[in-house]
Formats: sequence, C-alpha cells, structure tokens
Amino acid sequence: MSDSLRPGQIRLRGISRKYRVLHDRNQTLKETLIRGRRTLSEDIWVLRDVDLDIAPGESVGVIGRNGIGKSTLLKLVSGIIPPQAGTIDVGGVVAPLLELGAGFHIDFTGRENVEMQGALYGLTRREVAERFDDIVEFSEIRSYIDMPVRTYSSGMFMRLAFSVAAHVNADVLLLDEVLAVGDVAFQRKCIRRIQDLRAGGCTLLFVSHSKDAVEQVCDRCILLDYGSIVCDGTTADAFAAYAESLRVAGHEATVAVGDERDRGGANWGSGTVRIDSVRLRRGNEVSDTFAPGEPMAIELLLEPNEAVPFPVVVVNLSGGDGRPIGSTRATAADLGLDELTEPTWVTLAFRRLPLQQGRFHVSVLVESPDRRELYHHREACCSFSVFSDDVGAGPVAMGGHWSATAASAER
Amino acid sequence: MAGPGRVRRLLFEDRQRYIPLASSLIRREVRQRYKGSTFGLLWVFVAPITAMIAYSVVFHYVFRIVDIQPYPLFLISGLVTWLFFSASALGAASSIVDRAALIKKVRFPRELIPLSVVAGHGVTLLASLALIVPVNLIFVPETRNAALLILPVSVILVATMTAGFSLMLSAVNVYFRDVEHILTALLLPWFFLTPIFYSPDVLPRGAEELDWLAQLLAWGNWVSPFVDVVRDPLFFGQLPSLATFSYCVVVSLAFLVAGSWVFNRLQAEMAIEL
Repeated sequence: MSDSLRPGQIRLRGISRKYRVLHDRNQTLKETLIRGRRTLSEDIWVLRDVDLDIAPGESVGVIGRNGIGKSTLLKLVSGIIPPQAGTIDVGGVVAPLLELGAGFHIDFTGRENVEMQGALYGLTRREVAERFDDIVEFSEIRSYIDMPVRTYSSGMFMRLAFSVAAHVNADVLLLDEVLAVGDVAFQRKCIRRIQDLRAGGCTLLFVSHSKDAVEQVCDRCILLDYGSIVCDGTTADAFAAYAESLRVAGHEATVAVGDERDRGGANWGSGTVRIDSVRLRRGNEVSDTFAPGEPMAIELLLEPNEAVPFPVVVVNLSGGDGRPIGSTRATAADLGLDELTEPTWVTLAFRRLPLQQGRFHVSVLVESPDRRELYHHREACCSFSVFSDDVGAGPVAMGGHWSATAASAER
Repeated sequence: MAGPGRVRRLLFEDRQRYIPLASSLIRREVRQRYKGSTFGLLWVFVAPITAMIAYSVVFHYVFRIVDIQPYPLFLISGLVTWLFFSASALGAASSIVDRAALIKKVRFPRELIPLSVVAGHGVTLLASLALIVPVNLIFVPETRNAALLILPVSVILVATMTAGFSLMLSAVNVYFRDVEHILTALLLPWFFLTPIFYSPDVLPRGAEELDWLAQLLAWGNWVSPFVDVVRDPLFFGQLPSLATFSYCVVVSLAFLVAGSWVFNRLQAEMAIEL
C-alpha cells in the first residue's frame, strides 16, 4: 500500500481524533496514589471520519473557525499526534512549520541554531552546510549570524526561522498561519518562496484566516466545520461557504442604523472578536455624506466571545475603484486598554476629514496583538461620499499652509 | 472504542536521518552546561573534585568509616558512577517537559531528548575517568593490572542502565509532573544507601546479625552493583565478581527494554499532554 505512495502525496482515510477534557485530573503521581484512578473526563471529537486526498504538488488551504481542528489536522499529517482511528499515509519528507523557531535556543548563535534546526528537520550536516549560504542570504541577517539569537529582534528571529524551514526541500510543507509574522516586505518574500517551492513540486497544506494569503498560494481550499470537511473546492467557494457558516453560527455582523446597509462585502475571521457594527458620524448624527474638512468619526462595535488581550484594530480606506487610499491602526496602548471583556465602541475620529472628492469604502479588521490570529475582517463594510464645491483633482484633501514672501526679503 | 489509528509514511522512520540531530543535541547539552563560564569545560572536574574533598574530610578524617587507602581515590572511583547516574536521571526527568515547545511543534524521534541528556553526562563521565585512571595508576599499585581492560564494558553497562531509567522517567514525568521532584527528594538518601563512601563488605564490622542489611544494600539497591562493576577494576584492580557482573548485564538490559517500552507507549500522546 504505502509503496504505491508517491513523495508529496497525502492520503487520509477515516481519520478521527478526539481530545479528552479532564475535569478533575490527577496531575501528580502523589494524587494518583492517594485518590486512585478517579478522573472525570469528557471526550470531544475534533475530527470525525475524515477522508482527504492530496496529490503531489497540490497546495491546499485549510480554513474554519477557531478550535475546529485545523491545527489538529496539520499535527496529524506531520505525525506529532496520532489519530484514534483511520490511516494516514504521507509520502516523503514532511516539514511542519507549526511554529517558527520552535527549536531555537536563545543563547546560541544564529549559525548554531540553523544547524540545529536543520538537523531537527532531518537534514544531514552536509545538506545544512550546502544550504547555509542560501538560508542566510534569504533571511537578510548575515551580519548577525554569529551573534547569539537573544540579541535578535523578533523580526530577525522569525526571518531566520522561516528561512531554515523554507530550505528543507521537503516533499510536504505544513504551514500554520506563519505568514502573519515579519514586515510586509518579508511576508511577500515568504509568499514568493512558497510559490517557488510549489512550482518545484512541493505539496502544501496551509492553515490561514487570510483570504488573500490562501488565494496567493493555494489552488484548492477546504473548510472544516464540526469535525468534517464541509467544503472542498476553490478558495472563493470555500470562503463563501465559510462566510455562510459564520452567518448560520450567529457570527455574522449585524448592520446598524446609519450603515450603508450590508453591501455583501467579504467577511471572515476566527470570530473570537466580532465587529458587530460599523457606523460613520458627523458630530452626533449618523451620516454617509461629508464635505471636505468636516469632522468625521468611524465607530466600530467590538464584541468579544471571551475575554482577550485588547486586539489591534485596523481601518482601511479605499476608493470607489477599490484602490487603497489609506490605512491606520490602533493598538491596546493607543487606546489605553488592556483587555477586551465586554462589547466596546472604538472610535477613529478626524477633526477635519482629509478627503475632498469621491466615493470611499471602509474596511475594518481586528486581530490579536501578536497578529497571529485574525479575529474578524469586514471588507468594504460601509461606504460614504465626499462632495466638494471646488473642482479638485484626486481624493485627498492635501491641506498644508500657503504663504507668500517677496523674493527680495529672502536676501 | 476504535483502536489506535495507523500512521504510515515513506522515509519517515528512517532513523539514520537523525544521527546529525543526535550529535547536535549532545553537543548542545555539553556546551550549554559550561557556556559562558570562565573555566569552560574544566567545570567537568570541579563538581567531582569538590565532592571528593568534602566527603573525604567527613567520612575519612572525621568518622573513619572504612580504612581503605588512599581514601579520596577510593571515594572518587565510586562517586563518578553515582554522579553520572544521578545527574542523568535528574536532567532527563524534566527534559521532555522543558522542551514542550519542540515536542508540540516538530516531529522527530523524541527519545533523542532524554538520551542526549544522558550522553552529555556520559561525556563528563568519560572525561572524569580519563583523569582518574592515570591518577589511580600512579597512586594505587594494585590497579596496574589487566582487570582495568574491563572498565569500558563496565561503563557501557552503567550507561545502558542509566539510559533505560532516564527514558522511563522523562516519559512518566510528562504525565505526572511531580516525578522529578520526587526523584530530587530520593536522590540524597539513595546516595547514602549506595556503597560509595563505604564498601559493602566492611559495613557490618563483624556483626553477623547485620549481614541481611549488607545483602539488601548490595543487591536491593540496583545502583550498588553498578558502582562495584566500575570501582572493582578502577580502584581495586580486580575483575568484578561474576554475580555482580551478571546482575549488571541483566539489570541494564531490563532497564533498557522497560525504558524503551514505557517511552514508546507514552510518547504518542505526549504532544497533547504537554
């Protein structure tokens, strides 16, 4: 059976995995000896009878709500945990990138960590040596490679960690939301590298909440819900089904008065925190038309499912043609709040609206402070128009102060 | 309930792939211990020598427990085995839990973690022996003897027993986190019950009614014969008795088999328990 398996092929048959949630667990040998084997537990099936076939070279996105079994699926394929039932066949070398830099030791230099990490992925010392220059080159931290990792910034750390993993030349690459690290330029580089690996015939299994990222690297996408694969198709299909399942599950944002009604914009995320409502105000009144230089406020109602560290809130503005105009973000520090425990209004206020003419769409998103988890993204969830009496070119009200001085006065 | 699922993969169980990992882990284990210290690897000798001096003063010059000369060399010849065994067991017990992040995120042969701890202390043991053997050859004439040739076999027996015991502890500690603390508490009395600063045959001092105690200490505490199997050639210049040697062979293999079995049983669900 397994002889017919080709490198890069993944075959799951009737996979089930449950977790035992212990209510009253004997954590210590002492307790066990004293109280015997009494433990109250409850089994929770994360995956039930899942079949999945992935051909060599295919790249498959895995999406679904939090705790629905996406990471479990990756851990099963990588062999980190065993299934309770069913058969998993994986052909070739698997590189699980469930967490970048998991094997790094901060007291050792970048070079030593690269060697160690390579060995963890099953590379021989010679293979590591051959790839060492490429790895360092890709990570862009050559001048720091002989310094202890503890002196690295978190960005440098991640760059080096991704770089090692990306040079393992595995047959199967498992990625769990790892692209949410590093600066934008490096993220693009990561995506390019993943696309290169794909082109080289590497099979990819990619867990993400980001539609953009999945679209860029995957040609197939599966949606997990309630322990099974409920949608297996194109990225667009799977995200549409995901939005539908969020709506059914009560995660769909409600539309508040004054919104530019639900425009049917894309709407996704883990749902840990929902953006329940977005509205635009001029002073005390809700509005969707503004004049340049008027005060304007964008208000977001955040509703947490559970208490979480206060998320990062991002507001993106795009023009009527979809072109990005601007973006701004607020962190917990900016808002002076540590935790999000109850429904909270977050307001972005402009004393003078820096726009002069046109139709604008507002996209909003909330994500965890470490940017690992996208809670909720509402794309183009409301729109507004700005009308100007002046005939100005372009959307931005430039502002600035004009003045005039006689040339002779300036020596 | 459904039986355990099967995981099959090509290349994956190819242990040879992980030889470089094993050597990296061992080097890391050794370097980590001495990194950043002024004397570096010289520290390998500091702990045994300090212990040797302290115990010599207490047990020879204060209490006069046994009359074996030269006492410090008798002591260190038994102490090396104990230090290797106890440091390995203690280090291995917490090794898996300490590397939870790795176990949960990367798939590799997990037994390499406790085994690398043992191997790291094995390096210390070999370095200590490299110092003790010539010193004993100079100061203890009886050791200039062919019996010394059995020493490598003795060391292998000790290492095998320690490896098996360490595998077992590291896996069990994932499920019962107090195992490492229990072990810490046990090691001190265990040390005193092991004939290191005394010799089992001098213990009863002629009191015949204590013979059962001597026998119990010699055979009931399984570390005792391992101390003897090293010390006999290393200090007394004689082959270990057939009883001691066979005991060590059987017990070390039993620990290796039991340790591997326990570890394999427990390792599958480790990523979840951590």
